[in-house]
Amino acid sequence: MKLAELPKEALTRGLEGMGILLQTGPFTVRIHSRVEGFTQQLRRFYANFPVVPEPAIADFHVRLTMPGGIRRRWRPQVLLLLDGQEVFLPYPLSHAFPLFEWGLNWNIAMQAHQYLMLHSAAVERSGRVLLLPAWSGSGKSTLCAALVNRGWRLFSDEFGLVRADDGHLVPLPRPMPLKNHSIDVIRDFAPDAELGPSFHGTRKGTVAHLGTPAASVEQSDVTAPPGWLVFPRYQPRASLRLEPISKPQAFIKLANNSFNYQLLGLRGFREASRLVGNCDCYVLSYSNLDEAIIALGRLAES
Amino acid sequence: MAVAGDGIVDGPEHTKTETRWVAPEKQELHWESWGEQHALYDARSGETHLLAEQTVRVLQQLVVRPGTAREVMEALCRESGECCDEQSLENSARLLRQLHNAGLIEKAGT
Repeated sequence: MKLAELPKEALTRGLEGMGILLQTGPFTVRIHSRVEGFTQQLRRFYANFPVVPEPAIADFHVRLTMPGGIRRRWRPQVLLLLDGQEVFLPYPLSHAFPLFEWGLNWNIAMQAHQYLMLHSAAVERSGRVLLLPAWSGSGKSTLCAALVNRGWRLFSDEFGLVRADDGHLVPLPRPMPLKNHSIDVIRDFAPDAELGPSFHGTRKGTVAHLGTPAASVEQSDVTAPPGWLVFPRYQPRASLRLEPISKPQAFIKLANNSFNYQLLGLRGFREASRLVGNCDCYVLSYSNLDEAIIALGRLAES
Repeated sequence: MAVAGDGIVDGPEHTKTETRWVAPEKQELHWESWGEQHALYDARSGETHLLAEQTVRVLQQLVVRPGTAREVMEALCRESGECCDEQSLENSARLLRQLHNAGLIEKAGT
């Protein structure tokens, strides 16, 4: 059953009771919430995601609550508990959904060490995955959103999950958070894109989430091998440059863009080596999204 | 992550050519190679190093047998059939210094 097929009352009852078990890529997340407004956001952005029937084991437990006290009346806040632990300070109540998304990312980054985890967008075309590893501010999410709106299958805008046994990438499609200027960029680039409300004044500025394509959710269990490793960098007014780099250069950049390369030790070294060995490696500088999309499309066709 | 063998990890200490160097056990070092560039994972430290071909030859020679800069140089020259000169000795000493600074080799007896 998809989340959208769950009657509204059942969803609210589930969130307030035992929790709702939601499948996101390889992870089962148990979500508890009594927070006003969050239920509607969850329903909107996870409409196509499968609800896992009970009983089931959850990988992560996420609970949203409203702290008590005088603040509850004058300046309501939301508190996130991850596996029962308070990891972040409370956020304004209106930021419950972005807080949930960041909390889930944090949980995955801290715990999913069965994978080599790259800080990378990942999209698929023709059965191979294009990885776009980069830290914040490089335009990774914008580029990922644009590619998905031009027919690439979304694996993730945040995580490249590399499976240990065969080196395949594992999809983790979720709503894509666009920040500040990127929101208008994608609005102009894809006027039909399903963009949610803007959350102003978050720790990352204004954030708006782009919906996950239903086709990407439906193929969440279809893994694919890596094909291209492209390190993107948005530079205002820059001409498009897509240039090959050597495997050792790519290796260093990849390791520096991993959440858990060091932690995995020898396994991380072997998996990163295999990944680099199986990919064509490039750096991309761009300022014009259309040009970048065309260049990456040509790469996939070649 | 460290990069050695390209001259950027040179230390301040002048290492005498008679210093005897020792490398880790072979099973502690894990290699990946792309042409003349090599990545090395040191299981003792958990560090990854990128090494150039010449540095790899020096390190692998030490894995086979501990030695001084001169002994390493002579073994490599014998292996490659090249002539050794003072420049070769300086290169050998420099690369050993870099490997030491990267924590990949130690002075024997320490």
